[in-house]
Amino acid sequence: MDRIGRASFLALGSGAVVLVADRNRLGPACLAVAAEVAEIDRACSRFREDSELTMVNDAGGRAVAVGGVLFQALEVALRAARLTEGDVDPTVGQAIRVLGYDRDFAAVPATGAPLVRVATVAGWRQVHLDRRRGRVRVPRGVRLDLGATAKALCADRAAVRAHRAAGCGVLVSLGGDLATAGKPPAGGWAVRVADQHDAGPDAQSETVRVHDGALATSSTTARRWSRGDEQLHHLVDPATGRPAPVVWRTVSVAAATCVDANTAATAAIIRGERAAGWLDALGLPARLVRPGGSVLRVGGWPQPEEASAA
Amino acid sequence: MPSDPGAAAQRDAGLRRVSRLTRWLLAWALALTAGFSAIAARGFSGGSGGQSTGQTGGTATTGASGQTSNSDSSDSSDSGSALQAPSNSPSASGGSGSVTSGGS
Repeated sequence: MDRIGRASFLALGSGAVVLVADRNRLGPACLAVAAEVAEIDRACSRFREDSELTMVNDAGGRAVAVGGVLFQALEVALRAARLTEGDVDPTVGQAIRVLGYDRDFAAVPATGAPLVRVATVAGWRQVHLDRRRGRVRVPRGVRLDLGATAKALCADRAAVRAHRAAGCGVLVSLGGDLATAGKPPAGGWAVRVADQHDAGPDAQSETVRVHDGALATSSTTARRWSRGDEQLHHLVDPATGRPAPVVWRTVSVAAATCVDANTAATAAIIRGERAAGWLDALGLPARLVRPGGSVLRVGGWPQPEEASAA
Repeated sequence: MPSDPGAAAQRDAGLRRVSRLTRWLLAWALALTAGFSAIAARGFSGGSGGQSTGQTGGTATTGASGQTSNSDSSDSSDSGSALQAPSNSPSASGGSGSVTSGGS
């Protein structure tokens, strides 16, 4: 008997999906996820005037005392930067604003005047955390964007919290980046992998079973806009301050945590041709999709079953 | 026994030189101790702050002020020095899945 429960709701400017191995425990799990999402949004949103991150970005170079959630999110972001040699860098905030992504994406104009400049990315080493005092300082003019890691951190935290609340296995997906906690249903969680988390039934995709850990996908097909004749997307290469060249249109990675999965997937988009070897060397199961749709699987990512391969 | 005034003066002068030398040596010893302590504190930051040993680009600089550089943090959110694979790789499946992983 299928006892899996499922619920979905809006969260973090995208969609949240909560799966529980015991459908009778869906309510407590959803409440736990909603609470976690609210905490992360209040601390880490760069679009909320009242968020702690906005306070840090607007501090003009002064050290700012922050709460534990944002402090953890910053530590996670800096770890991601260190482990990817700066390919995933939280100091891209000003660069992505200059590109036009300066408000909640739903309100970003789809077209606009040509870009006249790009912003230099200061680099993650410019961010200073004072753990003893719980303070963070970034130089004047540097703006942080935790988009590459905060949603994944939220998924990790929410999965653990929901598992504790529900007392059964859970899967939490936030905008297509998902984390699991507890014992999965028999055979694992069935997860469809596609370019976009809201892909229609006809979109190219394949289905895998996730038994533990997390799975995240980064894609240049999501959150796109144009300025002049230039097509832009949200995955900015810190080396140039511009959207990364589209060597892979989509990369999905399985890892122990959603933070690690999303860090690797985002870095792979930035790294381009070097990504496949890097992921394979790390032993991370990954699926990389070329702009034309051809798929490369590395690190033990399974070959699709005939019925699910598109 | 009557003392020789010249010899006494020489003795006193010698004692003053020894005393000055002792003070200088003491001051140098203290300065060197402080210097080595500072170097050791920077090179081997301890406590729960963790170390960046073996981590690419690590610049552990925890000092007496408690200021922690961006690469000197480790706790539950900084688990390990590499991206971690899941315990079990995903396996192939048919069907459509209950949830979709994709860009957003």
